[in-house]
Amino acid sequence: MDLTAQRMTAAPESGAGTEAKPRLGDRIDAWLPKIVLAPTFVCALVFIYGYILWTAVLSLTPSRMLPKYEFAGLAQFEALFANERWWLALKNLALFGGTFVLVCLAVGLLLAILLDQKIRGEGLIRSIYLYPMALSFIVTGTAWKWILNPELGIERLLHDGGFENARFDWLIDPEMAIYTVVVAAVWQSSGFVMALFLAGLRGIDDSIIKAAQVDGASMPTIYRRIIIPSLRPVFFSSFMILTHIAVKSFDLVMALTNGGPGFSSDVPATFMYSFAFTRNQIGLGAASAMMMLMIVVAVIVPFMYSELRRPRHG
Amino acid sequence: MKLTRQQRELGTKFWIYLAALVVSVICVFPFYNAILTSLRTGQDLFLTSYLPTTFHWENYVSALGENGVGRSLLNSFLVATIAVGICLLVSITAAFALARVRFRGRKYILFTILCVSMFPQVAVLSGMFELVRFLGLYDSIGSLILSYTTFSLPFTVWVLTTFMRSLPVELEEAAIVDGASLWVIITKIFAPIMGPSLVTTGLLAFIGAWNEFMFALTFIISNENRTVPVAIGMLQGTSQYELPWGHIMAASVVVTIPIIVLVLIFQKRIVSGLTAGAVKG
Repeated sequence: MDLTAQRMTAAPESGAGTEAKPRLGDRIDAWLPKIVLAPTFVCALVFIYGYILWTAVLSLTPSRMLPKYEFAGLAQFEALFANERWWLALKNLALFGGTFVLVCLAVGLLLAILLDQKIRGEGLIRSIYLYPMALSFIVTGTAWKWILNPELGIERLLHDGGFENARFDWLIDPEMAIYTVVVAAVWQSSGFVMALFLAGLRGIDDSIIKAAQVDGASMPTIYRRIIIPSLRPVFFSSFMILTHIAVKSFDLVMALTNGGPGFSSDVPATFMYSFAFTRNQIGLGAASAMMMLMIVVAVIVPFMYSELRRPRHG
Repeated sequence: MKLTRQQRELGTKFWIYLAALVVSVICVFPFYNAILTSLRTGQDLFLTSYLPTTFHWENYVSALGENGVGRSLLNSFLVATIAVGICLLVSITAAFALARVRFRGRKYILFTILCVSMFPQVAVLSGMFELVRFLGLYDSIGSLILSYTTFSLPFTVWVLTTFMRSLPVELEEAAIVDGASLWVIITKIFAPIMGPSLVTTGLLAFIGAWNEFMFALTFIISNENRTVPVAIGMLQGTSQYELPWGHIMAASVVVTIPIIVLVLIFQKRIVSGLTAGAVKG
């Protein structure tokens, strides 16, 4: 993990740091850093890891309304996977997560390239693209709920504009409702991905591009062969952030579709919330929370591992 | 007709600006529409005119007053400020230790902290709920201060550690030569240089806490202790058919404006802060 840390600091500085550390270390008593770190460490370890462990324990008990500490084996997991609503939530997570991450990466990259064309008013445009990230998912959900509502938003606008038969009712269509969540989530997060890509684009050494131009490469080729490959670390961080947003998305679904129509746009987070806190099935909720944790680990760990193993300046 | 090189370039520019304009409209429209709706009442709400027709401030008055969003705003502000304050105090010292002091187990601590921000918060929700009840904090803003501090701390520690590592070591060496103690080094040398990074980190943590929904929904039951995102959510839940759209939109605008202003002012710093903390998500 030190690797990650080092990746983020410039090489010369970390070099200087190792030289100076013993001297500094002499002056500072060995226990001091531990006391200073204790609150963070206790918070992380006791609260977060402790409660993940506690959730894991709960998922192995028959708890319903109140925690009951009897061992029930994997019964809750069996019940979970026998539950159709859970399968629907998993399917929705795959649809939503996959579409959201891919579209966000594509849109973010395109917008960054667009803004990198030395256009006038770049500062203003960047602010306009970036501001949705400041919104609460609840506000985003509410705003889009109006726009996507067939009686209020786009469909009505089309009707009033003379297209009597136009239909745009994804919000109330069980098959399409999950994609309204994608639309709203992409709207909110693309600007941020753009900012990450733009920072990456600005960090590319101009002389490489100049050299390619001298060699007669066209701009599309330069983008495809030089610029986009060198943005690999940005793809990596964006992927991690977006996957994380996708798995934990809860607020947006609650505000936009509330899991509906029916349960058709349920995601694991809303499933877990509804079972653990409104249907008094703590054990089942805990089992679903553990499954979500495993999904995050399964997606992120191999990706991180392969990325961190790559040569640092390759 | 063959185009000259200049004409072709002009054409490309045209498409670039057109694309930039279309995306700008898509970005602005949802929030613009929310503002528009918040200024309309009665049947005007359902007009399909996208220019301001009326300016009714009643929605704001009744949302803030009767619906208790004013009270919720105060709660949101208190919770976010206190949580961020605690976080910054604790994390500046922790970041110093992680960035500058060599000790056994540092790598493992960094790893532990890094992992925390990867976990979905739902995984700790049940556990947190039991803790909150055990401590008697259920339905008080104390529960939110506790949970936001816990969840922001790893993030602020990470970002501050990254910032601190990028500072030259000569600074402290000079101070040490002059006989400064650790406390003096942190307060007199690091704190002033770290000022801007503290603002950025604090701001990001503040936005996170201000917008948080799940913990606030779970731990708070009474109207007067709610934070704004939950208050907005509750306005939507009150009736199935006649949603008080005017009030909902007014509340959404009120909760968003301060954050947008902050983000636009500190835009550059926020992006650099997020890039620094990017690997941790």
